[in-house]
Formats: sequence, structure tokens, C-alpha cells
Amino acid sequence: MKKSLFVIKAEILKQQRHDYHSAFIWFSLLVWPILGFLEVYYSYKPFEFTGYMGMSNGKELLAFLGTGYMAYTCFWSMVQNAWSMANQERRSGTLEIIFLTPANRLAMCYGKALGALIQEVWMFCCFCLFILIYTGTISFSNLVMLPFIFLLLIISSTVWGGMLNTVFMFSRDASIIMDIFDTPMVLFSGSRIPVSCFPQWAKVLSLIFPLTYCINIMRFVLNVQGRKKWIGDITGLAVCLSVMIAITLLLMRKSEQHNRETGELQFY
Amino acid sequence: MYSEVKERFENQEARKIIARHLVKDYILKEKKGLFVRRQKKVVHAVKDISLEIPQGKITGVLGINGAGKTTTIRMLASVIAPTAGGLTMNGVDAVKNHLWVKERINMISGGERNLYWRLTAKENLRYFGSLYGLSGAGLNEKIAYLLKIVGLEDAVDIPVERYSKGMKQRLQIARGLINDPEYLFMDEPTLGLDIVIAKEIRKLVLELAKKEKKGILLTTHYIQEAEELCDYIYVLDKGEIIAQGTKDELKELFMYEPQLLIQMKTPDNQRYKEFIRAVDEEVNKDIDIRIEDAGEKIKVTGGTDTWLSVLSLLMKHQIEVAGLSIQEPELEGVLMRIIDQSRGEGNEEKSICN
Repeated sequence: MKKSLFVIKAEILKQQRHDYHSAFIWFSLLVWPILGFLEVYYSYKPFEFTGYMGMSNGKELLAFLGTGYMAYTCFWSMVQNAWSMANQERRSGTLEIIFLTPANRLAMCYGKALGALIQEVWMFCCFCLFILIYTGTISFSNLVMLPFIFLLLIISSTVWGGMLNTVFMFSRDASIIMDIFDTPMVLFSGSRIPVSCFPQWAKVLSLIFPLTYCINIMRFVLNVQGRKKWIGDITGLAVCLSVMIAITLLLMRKSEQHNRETGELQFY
Repeated sequence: MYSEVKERFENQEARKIIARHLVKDYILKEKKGLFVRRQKKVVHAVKDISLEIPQGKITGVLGINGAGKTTTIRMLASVIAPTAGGLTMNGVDAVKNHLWVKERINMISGGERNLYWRLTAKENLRYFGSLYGLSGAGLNEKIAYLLKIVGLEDAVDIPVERYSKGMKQRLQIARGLINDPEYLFMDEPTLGLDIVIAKEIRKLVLELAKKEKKGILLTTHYIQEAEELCDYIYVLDKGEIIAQGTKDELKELFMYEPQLLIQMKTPDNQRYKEFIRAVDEEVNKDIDIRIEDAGEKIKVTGGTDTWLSVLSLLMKHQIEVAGLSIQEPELEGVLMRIIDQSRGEGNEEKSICN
């Protein structure tokens, strides 16, 4: 256990040193999401607010988007980091050297995810927090819920990121995941559009993404959209996280076995 | 498993890596055309390799490109699993217990990869050390020690991307030693380095084996390097061992004896012509005498008896000699002869061993 913690710490520090002040991160995980946030906000704003879907003014819309974008960016940074780090590690030959060590593979994957999360999304989270404070969504009365929200985001994103990291270790051609998850995750998770607007088939699809439950729980805790229930979301998230951990364990074992047979970790 | 290992450790013979009949096949998918299904093809990268790596010794693996050196080293280092054959480290099955093996080995490759270029030397070593469960003051001391022995103590806080090729290679060696491995696999560690750096690295490798008693497997393209460092050499070709032995044994096995080189002063006079005729008639029946550079040089192989016969003929014919020297055979020549001979013999005789 102690050794696994060393591995997680090492991965976090490596990410921090490696990506510190990277222009790619500034643009892809701060500037572009802010522009996207503004784009959606100003797309909705000209329409009249009737209280439909729990939004009766501009501030409530901002709170809706602030929570959605904050959670989405955490999850999206995991997809982006899994792809870029796996690519870089393969090119530099370090991926094979990492697998030459006896380090706990699961700790490596979760460490990479956690490192990326801490390093890459804090700036955008600060922006979203500012929005939520400005709109009065976060006030002195519910400030105590902030640690819970952070914990929820950190755990969910890390488990999600760990699974993606194992997928990218399995294959150098896994970049298709970037395309598979980008638009559907944005659309169906309810980060920009309320899930309750969707037809039934889309509502079912939204249940696949752990991000959906994460956003719902955040909105319940911060009383955005006047959500009343959260037990279903907590259960859904727990099931999703358990399934993702199981997939991670299975893929990790299979990918090491596969790479020991084929020697493909050195390919890039 | 601990008691099993302890028992085996007490026996010095068990302190080695033993590979028996290792085989590695890869399945390649060949693209035949846009609408044609890809066909699978089995490539035999390593066909049958048995070798030993004892601690405190440098074991060399030589061969030309495509001989199977890198595949062999990757199997021995547990990076890839053999398709067939057995591999033990200190008596423990290394294929089944590859994570146990990975705590006790490390691998260093030639070239500039295998490091994080944006990180400094210290950050690289701290990261790799943590993967072996090292931390705190112990790890910091080890990093300082390793950077000192590879001569990078003045560049610890500079990002690796600013390093020269030689500095990167030295940092790779420090990385390879971070877990204090019992066995070190070095895949062409001096590839592309200048003479001075290569010499320093060779000295370091020698010290690791002789002073720190590490078992080292070295693959190299540079025959001089193998000649200088290796206690025992395996020659690979097309995935098989075609010869093995110490460098002297290999030279002896392939009858590469020292040569007597005679430099003539006046190769075109009458006495010289009579001497050549006499050499042909009296001596050159069983031994090899080669006349080179229009008679200016005579190379005589064989033992001292042969040399004495040739020298007595020189004196008899009053030939003036400009110089005499003895040339030791080089391993490169031996290697080429081994490969040529092995390929010439085809499948008739698969392995030439001492």
C-alpha cells in the first residue's frame, strides 16, 4: 500500500513537472472551455426564461452551465490526458521502461489520472467557482458542501481517467476514444442541455455516462434547477464507478499479458 | 517462495540467470491490398537460445542486425514473454514471477529515448526510484550518488532536453542503477557516442561487474567493446546461437592464430625470388603464408615452429628485413568468419560451441 502511494505521488509530480505552463493545456482546458461556456450562455440568453427546466433568469442559466462545465472539463481532461500522455510515453520509450518496473500498475494508472486532474483543470474550476459564487449558487450557507463536490469530482474523474489510461496502454490506436466520447458526452450528460429535455431514447443513453450522475448530484447539492432527488444518481454513480474499476482491472491484466506476448509497448 | 529463494541463494551456482531453449515467435499481419484480408504470418525472431548470465561477469551477445539480440535481451529482462523455453533467475521461474524479477533487474538501451526530456536528471531519477518503492532521504542520497558516479553532478537541475547525447546516455545508466539491480541488461549502451564518452561508459560497466558484482548482459555492434569487456560471448545469427566461448576460445576455435608480419627491404632482387621459391617448396605445404603488397609484406600464421622455419630461410638467403612484428587476431574477423561459416554450412551443423 505504501509503495502504491509512492507511485501515485510520483505520477502526480511527474505530470506537474511535465505539463507545467504547457500552452496546449492553457488553450484546450481553459481558454477554449471558457469560450464554449460563453457561446452556450449567449445562445440561450436571447430566449425568454419561463422557469422551464428550473431556469427563470440569466443567473440560473449561469449556475446550470457552471456546474455542467466544471464537471465536464474534469472528465474531458481525463480523455485528453490519457491520449496525449500515452502518445508521448510511447514515443519517448518511457512506457516500456515503466512496465519494466514492479510498480503497482493500478496505482500508475490512477496516479496519472489524478496528476492530470490536479494539474490541468484547477484554472477552469476557479473560473466556474467564480461563476457559482457570482450567481449566489455557492454562498456561506452551503460553503460546507464544496469539499464534498471536489471529492465527488476527483473520485469520479480519477476512476474514469484510470480506465481510459488502461485502454490507451492496450493500443496505440485508441485515439478513436477521443471522438467517441467528445460529442456524445457533451450532448447526453446534461452539461449544456438539461437531460429532461431529451426524448426517452436519449435519456437512456445518458445513463451510460458517469458524468451524468456526477452533474446531477452537484446540481442537487447546490440546489441548481431545483432538483429534489439524488438517491438514484448516487446509486447510478456507484454502479458506474464499480463497473469502471472492474473494467480497469480486467484491461490492465489483459494489456500487460498482451504486451508481453507482442512487445507492442515499444511501438508508436 | 522466500525460503526457496534463500536456500538457492546459499548455493553460489544459483546466482545466475539461466535461459534454456528460448523461442520467440511474433505474429505479423501482412497487408496484401485494399480489399484483401490481412494474412497472418509467423516470424521466428528467436529460434533456440540457451545461455547463462552469472553475477560479477559481463556476458556478451554479438550478432549483425536482425540476429535476434534485442528480442533476446527483452525476453531475459522479462519485458516480453518467451513463446517456449525456460528462464530462471537465481533458481526462480522468471516467466511466472516476472514482477519479482523486475525488482532485481534493470535495462539500459542505447540512444536518447527512455527518459522524460522535460524533466531534470534529478526529477527523472526521483520518478523512476518511486516506481521501485524508494522515497525520502534514502532516495535523495541514492540519486546524488548515482549522478556523481555517472559524472552528472553539475547538471542535476537542467532539463534532459538540454543534455548532449553522451549526458543522456549517462543518465540512462543512472536510471538503470536506481533500484540497485543484481542483473543489468545493456542493449548497445555506447551506440552513437564519441570515443571519449564510450570509453568512460565502458570503464563504468567494467566496474559494475567487477566491483559491484552485478551480472551484466551486453549486446553491442562494436567488436572492440566486446573484446575489452566480455568474459563470455555468445554469437547470434538468425535467432540462434552459432558460437560461444571466451574471446580467446573463439579465436582458438576458429584457428585465428597470431600472425608474424615480415616487412621486406628489397622485395624485387634475385635473392628474394629464390627465398619465395624456397618458402613454396619447403614450408608452404601445411601452413598459410601470404605475400602482400607486391612482396613487401609476408604474413605467416601458425606457431613459432613455422615462424622459425621462415626466419631461417630468410637468413639462409640473406634477405634484408625492414621490420618484424606479431599481429594478434581481432574478434571482428573471427565474428565474420563464424557467421560466414555458419551460413555456409546451412542446416548441416547448427551450432558451433566450445
